[in-house]
Amino acid sequence: MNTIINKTIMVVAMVVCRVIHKVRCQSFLRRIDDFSYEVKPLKVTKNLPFFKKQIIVSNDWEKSTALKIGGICIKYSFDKLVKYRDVRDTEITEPEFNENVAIALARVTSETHTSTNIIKLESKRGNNERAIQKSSL
Amino acid sequence: MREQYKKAVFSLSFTQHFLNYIKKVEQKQGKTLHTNGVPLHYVAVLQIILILKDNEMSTESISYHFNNILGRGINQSSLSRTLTYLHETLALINYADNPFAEDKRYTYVELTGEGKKLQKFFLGSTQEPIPAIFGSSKLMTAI
Repeated sequence: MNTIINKTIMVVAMVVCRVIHKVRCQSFLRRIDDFSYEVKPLKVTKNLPFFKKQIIVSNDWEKSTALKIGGICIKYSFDKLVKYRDVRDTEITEPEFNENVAIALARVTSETHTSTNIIKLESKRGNNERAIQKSSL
Repeated sequence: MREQYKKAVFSLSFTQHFLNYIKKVEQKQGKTLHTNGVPLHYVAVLQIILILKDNEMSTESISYHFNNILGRGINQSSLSRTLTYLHETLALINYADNPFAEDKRYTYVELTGEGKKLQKFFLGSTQEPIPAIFGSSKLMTAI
């Protein structure tokens, strides 16, 4: 019974991973091969839960995760590479540089700036009217 | 032969023996394994394993040295697929990997007898004579 369940999980996992790979890496929308996977049976599954997820590696250039479903291990990796569309092969011009600096400054200002509370004096006058100080002279 | 050319001879000898080994496996299994040639990362991963010390053979170490030596990263699932191929199809290494097991005995990489034979060709530690083809007058190795 376990063998049938494992085989079913394996087939379903392979189909799902293949579809993700086709859509993500080979479709007309996006031809960047940054996803890879492996589906294989686990040999020793004693004392392990039916479902377990574990991140194997997460560094600057990849994030790899292992999934255990039944007796099957599914490993998949996403590359964290700079996409070819993002790579700029021409030098930045001065107006672009200045514009980017202005945008960056505005962003920093808006992030660090906190607006102060504004009290409307007209509404406060009735409740908390300060007594007029008389001169001692 | 000049000493400096021997490195090229060893490298080519290794490639020749590796391809011959694949041909033997293909004949044994009765099917063609690579219709468009052997993928480069299969050879590169094997070469990295061949220069690693026995107690340093792990997926993390292979991945680290692959990136440092070749300047390109190999992700874990791709590396795992490659190691499975070298283990199950070519039987050049023994490989087991269970990322969920706490016991590290379930995760190991080691060379088999055939793998160790190829290691000698790669490192140039074999006593076999240099093939006559390298003495051809049209090659630099003939000098």
